[in-house]
Amino acid sequence: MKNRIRVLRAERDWTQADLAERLGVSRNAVNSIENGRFDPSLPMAYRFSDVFKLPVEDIFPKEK
Amino acid sequence: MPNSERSLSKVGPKGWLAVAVAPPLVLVLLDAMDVIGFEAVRYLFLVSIAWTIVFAFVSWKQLDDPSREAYKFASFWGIGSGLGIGGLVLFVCIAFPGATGDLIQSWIDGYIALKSPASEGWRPGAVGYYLGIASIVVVQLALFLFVWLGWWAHQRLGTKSD
Repeated sequence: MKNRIRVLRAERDWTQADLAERLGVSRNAVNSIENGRFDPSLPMAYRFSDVFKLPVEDIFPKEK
Repeated sequence: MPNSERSLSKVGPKGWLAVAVAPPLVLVLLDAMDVIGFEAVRYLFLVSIAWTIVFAFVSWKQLDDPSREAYKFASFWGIGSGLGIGGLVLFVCIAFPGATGDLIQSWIDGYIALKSPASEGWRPGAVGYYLGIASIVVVQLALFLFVWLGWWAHQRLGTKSD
């Protein structure tokens, strides 16, 4: 699944570890999702939404 | 997050997994070193199984999505293929007993000699049955670990991190 996590992290100057801590998951989990290797569950997508304070579709845009 | 959940998450899933598997591993070690004797070990082992189930559940609740997926994937493909391979070996042994019978019987005899041969129930047929089941479980566990490591290796292959 396409995502904008790397860009959003860079805008906030967060490392994967910083984001992982905010989400309450492992850094490996953030790495897997960010690199599109693992599609997050809906609850996890909402956690990203809460942390970035953006709608889910702005973080995980629909693929055309 | 409630206080109880927060204190649970401090230990983390790996910590709780270590808590879960430590007692049975210690008992296996004590048995191998013949420190407390098999009589005590077998009763303590039963208690430790309950302990392991409880704390493995606590560990599972702490896992994030990819970590759970890794376990699910390894459970299906690792344990499944372990059953297949173990079953195939078992079938070959049953189909060609002449080729493997002596070797397997020597393992059983050796195991009985290692344990208390006078104990009730340590008969070659029964011990062979237990060892047969245990050997398939060992293959399943080994393949579970192999697939689990492979899943994480695939996740990291060619990815960027900081």
